[in-house]
Amino acid sequence: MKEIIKCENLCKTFFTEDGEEEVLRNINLSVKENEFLVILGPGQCGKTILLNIIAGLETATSGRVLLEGEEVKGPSPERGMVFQRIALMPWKTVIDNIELGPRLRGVPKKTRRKEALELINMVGLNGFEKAYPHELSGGMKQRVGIARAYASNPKILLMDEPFGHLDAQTRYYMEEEILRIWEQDKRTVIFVTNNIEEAVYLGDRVLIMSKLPGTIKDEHQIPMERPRDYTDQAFLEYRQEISEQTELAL
Amino acid sequence: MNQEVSSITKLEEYKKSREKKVEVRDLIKAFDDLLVLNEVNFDIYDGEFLCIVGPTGCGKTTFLNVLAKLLPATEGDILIDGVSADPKKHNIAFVFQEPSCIPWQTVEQNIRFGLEIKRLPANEINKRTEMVMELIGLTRFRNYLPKELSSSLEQRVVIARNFVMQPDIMLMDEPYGQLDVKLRYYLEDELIKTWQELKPTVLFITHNIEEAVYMAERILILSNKPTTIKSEVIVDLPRPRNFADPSFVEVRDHITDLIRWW
Amino acid sequence: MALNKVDINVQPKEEGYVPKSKKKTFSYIQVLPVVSFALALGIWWVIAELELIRLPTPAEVIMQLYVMATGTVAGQPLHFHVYMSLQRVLIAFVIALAVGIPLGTMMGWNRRIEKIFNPIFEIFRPIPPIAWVPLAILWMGIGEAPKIFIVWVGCFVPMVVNSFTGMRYADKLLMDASRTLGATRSQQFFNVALPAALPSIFAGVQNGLSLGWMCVLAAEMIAAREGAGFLILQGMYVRNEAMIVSGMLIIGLLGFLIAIFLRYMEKVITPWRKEELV
Repeated sequence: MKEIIKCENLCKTFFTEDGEEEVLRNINLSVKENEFLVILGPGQCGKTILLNIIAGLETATSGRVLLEGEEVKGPSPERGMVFQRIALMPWKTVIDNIELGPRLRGVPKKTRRKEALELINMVGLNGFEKAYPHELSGGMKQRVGIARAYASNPKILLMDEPFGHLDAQTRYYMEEEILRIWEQDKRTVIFVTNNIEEAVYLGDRVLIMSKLPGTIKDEHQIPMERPRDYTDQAFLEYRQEISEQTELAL
Repeated sequence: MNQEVSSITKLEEYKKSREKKVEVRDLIKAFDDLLVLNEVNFDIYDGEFLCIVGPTGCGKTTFLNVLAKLLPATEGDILIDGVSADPKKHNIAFVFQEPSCIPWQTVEQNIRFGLEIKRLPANEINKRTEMVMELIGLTRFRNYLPKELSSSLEQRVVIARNFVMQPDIMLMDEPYGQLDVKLRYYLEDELIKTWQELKPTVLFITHNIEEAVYMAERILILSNKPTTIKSEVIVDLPRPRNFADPSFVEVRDHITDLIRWW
Repeated sequence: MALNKVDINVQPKEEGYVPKSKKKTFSYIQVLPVVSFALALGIWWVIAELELIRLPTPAEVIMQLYVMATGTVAGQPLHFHVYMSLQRVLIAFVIALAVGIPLGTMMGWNRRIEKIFNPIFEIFRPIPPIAWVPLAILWMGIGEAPKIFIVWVGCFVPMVVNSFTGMRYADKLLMDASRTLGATRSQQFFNVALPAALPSIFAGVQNGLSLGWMCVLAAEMIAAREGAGFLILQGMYVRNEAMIVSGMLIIGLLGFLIAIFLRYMEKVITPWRKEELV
């Protein structure tokens, strides 16, 4: 199995007038092709910053990130990102938002329109091509975000707590949806969350982060078949086990 | 069938053993001709921890707002202790989804605020404040300003502020919504502990079925709009509850099936 | 998987609700503006009649407006005066747009440009347009140019300020999103930052135009022989108070109409703005 992402000794410290704040310490991880990796951590543990560094939106203080063996030097459509807050251009329709990446890269109109329509079908938003973001519900907006990331044909998808601001039931719905979308071609995914149930439901492998300064405390394989059952005994055992290892961030 | 019969008798026993605190009678709320609440009828019992769950978009927030008298009902009435609910006479506490601390007051001042407005005697205020701060683990933060606190701490201050008023009813609208799950369970334990100590009547609204099963003595399940009470479930599991326990799972699955829209 | 109806953020039209009792809700609040306006008019009339201060009565003002509308002032019909003022403001406005918005947006986008222009701008910013009148006369004489310059000063400042803040505080998240899609710096500027700043830029345009219009009087103090501001000045010279008040009303009314027009344009140019609260 090809290794898509490798993080070597990533460290991140913020230097402010009040002093230093160490956010990430010696992060080492690797993600294989077609893997659905979940990074789980409590409220403030630097997991978003870790994802931003992998995406190239922020730079590490030391250490490096490799994409298929080559060092990462900034954001690129090869590492597609879905953000926690809605990052859609409010002045563009759903289909224009999805086409944004290809358009910036100069893909001809016909091609990108065709691909965008396929993606809209994939994420289940048929009929909403010409809608504006403000007309959509939270779950739908995130689906547009996912389609947009896919549109650039990324090698890996980075998802930063995309369902964090949704209510519990919409969240369950979206978790099913994301797996349905993912199952189509099993694109490599790094999914960040603070929700243990979500981690066990979605991930092939779950990395548990500590509180600040963030380190990778533990790792769990979740070999269960999908679709998984939240109230199945095996599921609950995984949940229980992982819950004991996550730290409480008051 | 047997299970249904036994749960109906459980319900009846539960209700018979309790005193009514709040009665909601034929509550209707419409915005022009859009019917949101449709003849809602239920009782809340004294000292009860009642949870309300419902599918997404079922008018829960409208429901709470009408209950708290923040919105006028179109028809129907809400009675507290047999008398029509009146914010001036009755003490209706409300905990919102977002923390609502007074930014220029310290934690202690925030908690005392309502009592001082009611002009309670100083030693009574001190006594209650100290006790609630102790119960909710805020004593060491007493001199902090809200902006120095994390949002979970701020929310706890709001909850403390409400408990200390010994309200007729405490309405809580998903106060733990955005917090991570481990923290949520910790805070829920704290809330239950405080409730067991002070025994106010609590109405807790949430989307999260597991949360409801974890905390509630009784759960009301709302239907889609136009909203009515679809079902009612007693949760008589012993505390502390465990989400992995088979009987817990059974209740949770039962309610999920009733609500599941996805 | 079919999209469940509940997912959509649109309330389904439920069975219509028919209230059992028809309560007539008459809101006194709606009447208040009419009452207050009538009261103000009444107070004006009383003060004018009793000559507590030198003020024409509403009747006299209306008479004067009629006379001006049907006749001429200083040899020109009323609409010509209005037209001249509007023309001056329009020219000044367009020049301000062409200079102010690029300047403001570039200052917001590029720190170096901000550091170069900001100190100079901050010094000139508090100087009111009317203070420029003497220099304007000195440099440009007493023709149209100095008048347009004064109005331009009024338009210019808000446009720069608002374009700057719109750019500077454009949502960084959108910028990050476009970066992960592979946008170059200039692509970010044109595709993300500029549209994101548009509501703010347009607010600057609105403020600029309104402020510019208010400078018309100051501008037409420079030896004007026509214009809405000129009407007030003429009224002052010939000691016709009704003309003064008429001129003020005309300026006020036109300013009001401009504001309505701009509010309409806002809906056209930035239709997404209001709903962006979710």
